[in-house]
Amino acid sequence: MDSIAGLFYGLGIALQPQNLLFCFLGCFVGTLIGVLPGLGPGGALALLLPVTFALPPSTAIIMLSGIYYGAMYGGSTTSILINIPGEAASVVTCLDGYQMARKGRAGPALGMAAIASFIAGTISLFGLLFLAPPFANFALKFSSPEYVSLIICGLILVSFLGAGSKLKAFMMGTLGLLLGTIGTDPIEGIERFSFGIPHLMDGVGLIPVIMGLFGISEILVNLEEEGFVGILTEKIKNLFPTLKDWKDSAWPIVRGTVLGFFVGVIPGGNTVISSTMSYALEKKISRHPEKFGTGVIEGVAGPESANNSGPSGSFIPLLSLGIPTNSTMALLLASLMIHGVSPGPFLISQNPDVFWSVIASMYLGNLMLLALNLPLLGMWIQVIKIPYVFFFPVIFLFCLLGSFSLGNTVFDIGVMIFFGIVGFLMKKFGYESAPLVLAFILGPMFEDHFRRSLVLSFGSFGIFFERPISAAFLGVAVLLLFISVLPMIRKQKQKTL
Amino acid sequence: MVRAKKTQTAAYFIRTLLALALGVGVLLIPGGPMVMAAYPEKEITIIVPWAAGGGTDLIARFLADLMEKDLGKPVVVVNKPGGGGLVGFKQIAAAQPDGYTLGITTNSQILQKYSASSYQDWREMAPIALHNYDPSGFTVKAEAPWKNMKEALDWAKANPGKMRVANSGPGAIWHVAAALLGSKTGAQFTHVPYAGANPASVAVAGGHVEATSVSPAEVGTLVRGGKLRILAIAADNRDALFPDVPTFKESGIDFAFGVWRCLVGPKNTPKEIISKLEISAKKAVTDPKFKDFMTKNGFGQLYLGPAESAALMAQDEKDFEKIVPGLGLKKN
Repeated sequence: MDSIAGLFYGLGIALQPQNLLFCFLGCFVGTLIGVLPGLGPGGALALLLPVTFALPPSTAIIMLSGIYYGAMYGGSTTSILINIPGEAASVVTCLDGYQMARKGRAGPALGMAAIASFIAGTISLFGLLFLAPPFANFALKFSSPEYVSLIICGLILVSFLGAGSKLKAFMMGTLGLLLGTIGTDPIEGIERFSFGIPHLMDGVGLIPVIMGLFGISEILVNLEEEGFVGILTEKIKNLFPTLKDWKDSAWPIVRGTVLGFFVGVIPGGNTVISSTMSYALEKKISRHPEKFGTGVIEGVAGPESANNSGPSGSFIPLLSLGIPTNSTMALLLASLMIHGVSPGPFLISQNPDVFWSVIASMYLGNLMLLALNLPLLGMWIQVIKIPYVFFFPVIFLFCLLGSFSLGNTVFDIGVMIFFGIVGFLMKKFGYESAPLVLAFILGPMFEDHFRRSLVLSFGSFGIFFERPISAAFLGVAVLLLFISVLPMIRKQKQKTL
Repeated sequence: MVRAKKTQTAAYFIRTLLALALGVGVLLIPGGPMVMAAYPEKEITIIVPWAAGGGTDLIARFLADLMEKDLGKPVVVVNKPGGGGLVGFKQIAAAQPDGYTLGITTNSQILQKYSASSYQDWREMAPIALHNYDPSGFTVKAEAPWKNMKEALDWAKANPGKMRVANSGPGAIWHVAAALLGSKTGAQFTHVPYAGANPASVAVAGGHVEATSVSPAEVGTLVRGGKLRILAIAADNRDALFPDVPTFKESGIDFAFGVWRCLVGPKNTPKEIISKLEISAKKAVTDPKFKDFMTKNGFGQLYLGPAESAALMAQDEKDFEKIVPGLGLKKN
């Protein structure tokens, strides 16, 4: 089936009333999650995963991915109006979006954010549509050594792109790796750090960990806050950007879309990285970089398109290799497995209904989101005004129910609360949870493939260098390391001279 | 005044406690022989020791629906995953033997005795109805040079350790299957564990390993898609879905081994209840609807009653005792 025929086949499934309903539900919940500061798409997916158990696989994935890209739309509203990112990827939208709002241009900022999101979301889907099938053929050549080199390459790239304290990120990464070693070892089947507790024999559950780190900890942090100050009360007008706004935004949207898509493909590349990179890029090539931060529309259009094309990119390695590039994708992977859909080179041929209908639903979802975010903007602004006290008990209850229903065990509730407290402390002391979660997800994958490679090669390390794809990834990794270390060496030399 | 109120509250508290204790006590009195005639009087729970959505869960839910219609009382499936099934196995064995808490087990429970740090003895359970059996197979890439099982084994014997056989996880049932085949034929395989049957079969299709020991049902799509070829199946009879594939016995190798799923209750469940459940389960398993469901989802069909199931469990235990300790899964 070629891509166009596939798309129409998928549309046939996605347009069935039940799928259409759940697609809308996903987009709606996604926007809500995006608008509300605190809970991000990862936490929300973890919460709603148990709800999908009774649904057919396509419907479940349609809804869950709707939450993911829906949250990307909603996040900008809160950033622009109250200078607090609705979810992490909208953090840079605050910079110029809020300044625009202060100058009375909240309308065009919100309008451009939604339109840029729509354009990026729709264009990047073509990337997914046409690249995923050939990529799946390519993926058949991927054996364990290729996975090892790809993960190394991805991790280096992430540390290369990441912001914040490298030392703290490294510490959190190490903690994540250690957590990942709990449970039965993937090659020899020996139990590690399970202390005879049956619940730990399969390792610590990803979903309770994410619910704790991203859900409970947010509630705890926000409990300390008094509520919002400075929400704009004036009426928002002129949602439709002016001709000049369009001219200023056209190229940033194109660049943001391409950038976001490719960052999405890299293991470890998340929407925070892509939107930050897009902002930096626009500022660098702008003719008036000094105006960034004072309310220029490029600063909204670029990052918003980057964080909306990211999810489409992330679906390629998820579906064809089974590699989740970030924690949200890891949850989608978990839900695919729960529904008996195995990602891999044969996913498209084994589950064509799931593959094509999910892509088709994303076109429909983007249309729904445009409608949800422009005409219904007033409703979301009302939502932002609801005090936190009403939300937290509900979110907390959902967290409790969700973590229990995964395995009908109180143990998972304990894990979730433990990581909620850990996450709270991490936030207090300025440690990011993303490196921890990434290491927790990719660490065991790395170990699994690394040790399997050595079984396949009868113990020879040459297997990583002899295979062309693996060698190429390692080459890129060495190059990246070299580029990132080079400036440091130069500085050292200058000092000694 | 305050003190009087406190004593009053205390008295009330103690009364409530007593009442509660009495109530719980009544609830805990096991259903004696006198209630048996009317079994089942209330809802029956089936514990599935794996997550919702997996193969065991799907079959259990279908079976429960059919038994519910037959028994006239709700039959509810509850998932208790964890510890490779151990969490659920323990709860089944520890349940009241009154016929209202049942469970599903597979031979992985018996396997844990030799592969995991702790296990639940299958003798603490009463088998009721074995309702599914999937044999192991020997599957190679479609372009592989071996035309039949004998050629493959000859090559494996001539190149010790060079035949890499993918399985669905270290100590999983298909790992044991390949090891058992190796010990029966004298061929020396290199076992390559993957995280499930699907990645294992994809690895064969990609040419990363030579063969896999997962069941024919699990490689079905790739075989029909022309990517893989099954050389032999480890069952007594040929598979209805792959009638051209010979059994190991036809190839002159005495090897029949597979994974099964069985409805069980706790040990000491009254004989009358077991036989009532057995009749109901047999009716369900022979129902055309169940057969359709199993065929559609690629699950192998077999029905065994309590005594035959127990015999199979004992046989598996004997096989595992011989082969599993040599796989180095447990370090003591």
